[in-house]
Amino acid sequence: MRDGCTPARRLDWLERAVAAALVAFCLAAVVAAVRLGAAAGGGGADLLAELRERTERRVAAEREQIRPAWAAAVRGEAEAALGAFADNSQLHLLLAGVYRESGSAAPALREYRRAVELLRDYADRHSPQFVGPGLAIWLREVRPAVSGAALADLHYLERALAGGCS
Amino acid sequence: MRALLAWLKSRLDLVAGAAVGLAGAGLVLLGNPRNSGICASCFAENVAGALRLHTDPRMSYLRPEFPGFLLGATLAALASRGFQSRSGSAPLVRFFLGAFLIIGSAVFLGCPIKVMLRLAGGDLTAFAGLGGLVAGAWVGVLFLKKGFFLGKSTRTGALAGWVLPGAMALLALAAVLAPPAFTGGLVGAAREHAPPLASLAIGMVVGALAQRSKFCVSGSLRNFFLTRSVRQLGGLSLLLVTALGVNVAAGLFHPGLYDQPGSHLDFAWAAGGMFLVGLAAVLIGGCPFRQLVMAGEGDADAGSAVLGMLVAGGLVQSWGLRSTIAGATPAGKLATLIGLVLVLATALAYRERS
Repeated sequence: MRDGCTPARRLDWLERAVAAALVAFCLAAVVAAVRLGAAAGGGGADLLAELRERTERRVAAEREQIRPAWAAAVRGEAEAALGAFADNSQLHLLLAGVYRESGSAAPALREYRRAVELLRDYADRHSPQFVGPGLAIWLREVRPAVSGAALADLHYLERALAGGCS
Repeated sequence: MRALLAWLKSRLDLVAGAAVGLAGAGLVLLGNPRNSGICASCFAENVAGALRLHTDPRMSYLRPEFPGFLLGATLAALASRGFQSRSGSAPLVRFFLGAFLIIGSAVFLGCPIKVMLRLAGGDLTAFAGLGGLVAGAWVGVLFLKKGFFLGKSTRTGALAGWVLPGAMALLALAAVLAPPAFTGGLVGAAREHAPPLASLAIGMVVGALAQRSKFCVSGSLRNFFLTRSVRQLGGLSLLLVTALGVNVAAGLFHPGLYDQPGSHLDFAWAAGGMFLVGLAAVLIGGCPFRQLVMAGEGDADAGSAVLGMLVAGGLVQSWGLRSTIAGATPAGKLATLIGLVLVLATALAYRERS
């Protein structure tokens, strides 16, 4: 802040050179940022479509890999199905569906929980793999009939479906 | 009217509390995750993810509110001639305490503001966090009364105070202009966000009001324990009431214990995490949100805490120093205990004895 009496000091040659370089660097940075943004490619819709496609490819490839176990899971043979693929989220989800259809709520809840623990996308309403509204309705239906560990699994699934930042 | 304005000017903490409550609930209506309209620690984790400090796309989004809080504080400080570059009060200690603010918050699943917003959404599990936060702030005040002092900060070269506002200005520009490939926000909680310009504008208004009023959740608790005056809790109460009002009006109030978004049932660890946050926040003069605001005023020491918050935002995800909806992870429990040891040791080490 000048007081009006002190004359403004003229910039010396070094200060003028640095100021010019700063302006040039800033302009170059803006151009580089714009080019980088353009090179990063399309908008959110493009990226989401790509993500969806990649997910579908991955799910199909994984299912091919676990074909024998898949057949065992469809028959409700959990041990045979999970023997070599205990950490496969698709098998746990499939088993959950099989148990649910047969009216066995507790093991179905356990398998749903394991599936969601392995892959949160099943409970993510923005994911193509979301198993959502149907599961939420079923949870409400079976709630009065379960207790203990099964109730804890049910509460876990309710929290997962509720979303939020975690 | 003039009397009302004068009264409001004298009680800016009430205005800021109401604004934070309105913004916190309003941002949910605009797209942010439920009960998480404003959460400085979640935002720090999201921004850390966008900066590739961790690789979980579900928590990676360049949330414009984060730089918005700081830039709003900068503008308000400049307008009121309150901007002053200052530094020299144990910046490295503040860096680590800032990091533990985020680790404790990640174990609870939210910062002190989110404690209030979760309560306003009907999340009864947040009472555990509130209890821990109050207890932590109380213990912090005991240390303040026993002479805890991190050292005097002094005026310093202008550049020190402008580093973070400058960096945040770049982040704000990127948040609004950069493509999603950079900003993230494609899956999971990160996908849930308000329009970037609205987020930035709301963040700046809230940051400016917080700068003028010095509003801070843990600061309010600290002042209450220091003065025993309930007047100090006015802004905090109004935050809760306004957020509750908006949630009830919008049908977002769902009281319950078990099916709350972004919560878990490990009550002891939720309380422990928030105890760590309350204690560390009192020792370094404010919760994560307040650190952003102070950094916006030119306080380079608070800037160190903000950098610690960002680094921790990456670590809590990549090292699992947090809770999930299943409860606190083993690494999260260990980090909380280490944090308590280090913060208490710091509190003892920095006592000034007369």
